[in-house]
Amino acid sequence: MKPNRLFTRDTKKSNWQIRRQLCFCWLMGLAWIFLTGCTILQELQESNLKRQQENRVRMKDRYVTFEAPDDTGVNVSGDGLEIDSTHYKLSFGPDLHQHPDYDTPTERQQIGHGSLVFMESLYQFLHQIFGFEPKHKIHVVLHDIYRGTKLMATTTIHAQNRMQNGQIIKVIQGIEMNFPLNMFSERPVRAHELAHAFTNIYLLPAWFSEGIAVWVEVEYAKGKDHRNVDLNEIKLTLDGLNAAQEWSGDLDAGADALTQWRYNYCYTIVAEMKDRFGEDFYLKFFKLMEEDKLYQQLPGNMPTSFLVYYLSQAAGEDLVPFFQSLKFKIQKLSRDEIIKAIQQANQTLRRQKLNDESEE
Amino acid sequence: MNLKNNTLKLAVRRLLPTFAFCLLYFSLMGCKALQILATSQEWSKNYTSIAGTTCNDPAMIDGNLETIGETKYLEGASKQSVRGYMVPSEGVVILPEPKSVNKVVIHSQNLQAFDLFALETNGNWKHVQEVKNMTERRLTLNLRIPVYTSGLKIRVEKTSDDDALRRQNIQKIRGVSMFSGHTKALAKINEIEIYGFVQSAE
Repeated sequence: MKPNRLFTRDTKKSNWQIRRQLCFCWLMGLAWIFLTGCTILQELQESNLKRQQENRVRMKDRYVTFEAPDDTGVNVSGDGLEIDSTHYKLSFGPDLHQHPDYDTPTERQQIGHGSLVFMESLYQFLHQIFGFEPKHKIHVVLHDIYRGTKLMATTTIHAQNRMQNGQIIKVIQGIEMNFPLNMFSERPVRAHELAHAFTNIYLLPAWFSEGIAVWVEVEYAKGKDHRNVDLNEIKLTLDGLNAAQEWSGDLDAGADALTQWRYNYCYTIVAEMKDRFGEDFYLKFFKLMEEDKLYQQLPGNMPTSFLVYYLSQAAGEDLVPFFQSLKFKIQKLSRDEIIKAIQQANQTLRRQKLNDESEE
Repeated sequence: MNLKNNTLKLAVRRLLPTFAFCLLYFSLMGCKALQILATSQEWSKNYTSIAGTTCNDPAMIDGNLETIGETKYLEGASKQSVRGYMVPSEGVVILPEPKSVNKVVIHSQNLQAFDLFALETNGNWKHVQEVKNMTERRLTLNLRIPVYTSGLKIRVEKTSDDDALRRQNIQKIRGVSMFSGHTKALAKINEIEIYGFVQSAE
């Protein structure tokens, strides 16, 4: 039998063609993988980068890290006793002059300079939170022991009453922060006190001022000393009013059994309002106060009823019922009523002053 | 001719998997490998000087050796407990973007022992190196294996100020140790510098 040569050759030829086509397809496939591979890789790289960026923001937030300020404008005196920067003046209390870490000019210069770099970046941080900044340089005084303890830091606003167009106007003369070294090393404490330095110029009621400072300390500086409490668990005074409102905030008189609760409770109110009315609630609130400038005419600290007027304006709703439900003693006031109340208080003050002068 | 074709076919058949494998390999690894190959062995600029770098004390990355920054105690443990008083402190630097880090330079006045951690993409801190006896004020850490990271953390284990702080904050009363403050001092760090190799794109 003769083999069908033609058939065999054709079959072989077609097999070879099929293989060639398969090979071509295979190569095309590979080329496609090669080309799309880069795109997929690029997408993977992008998603990886996005994840890393998110992770970075989380870490930045968790560890509360700051950028080094561009220009701190730090000037250091030769003896290292006075150090100036754009927003601060730093000095050392007399008891630190003998401290082993601060007894030479070089030590004071280096540590003081570094401290002001930190404080300047903290200043930027708070400026972003509040949207305004104090008009005065803040004087920071470091001590080994302050007022007999290593556990108390204070911020004081120096103000003076001046007569302007027949009205008494409060003029801020300076802001002073005092820290024992022990507390200056705690970032949440610095943030707390700096929040006071920013906001106390508005002569806020003590409970609100402490609430704001603890809010910055806990939610921005990640302090762990205070926490949220239940707003309905109210501690009452003998008059049946909320004990937080009656708080003078002055720790010189000594902390009592309610001090810790007051810090926590005031912080909870402040945080609650931000949660209810949005991230920019306090930006709006301080903007309203700054535009109004009524705080300058206050004879003393701002009464809570005045404060609630501004809070209601910023919230866009009446907050008097909310505070009344928390057993705060307040009344709903209009702006005209506030102005009238301030004028009356200042008239009384003037009369008293005249009486005092005539008696002298 | 037939023999030639057969040889060619055989060669193609043998080379094809290798060729395919190479193509796949380069498609997957190409960009990175080329990038590494293109990298020259010259030290980069200090990565902490890049805008957007943050630190838990910016005096440690302000580029000024005259300023001193301090590490910060770990938050979380109660300050009133013994455990709270024994927590170490940390210096954390977060870079604006991940970098391949080959060298870390630390200028410190009192740091003696510490652990170096690198931030991983999943948010965990990976232990990179342990330094047990830092005797000089300037320490250069050349990393044998470079780390690709967007953050570095120094966890302070020992400083030259620890003993004095312990003497101040631990009192022995009838054999019982009474703690009244931290037992590990904060590290005073003038500067943390982070370097890699110069990349062709830089």
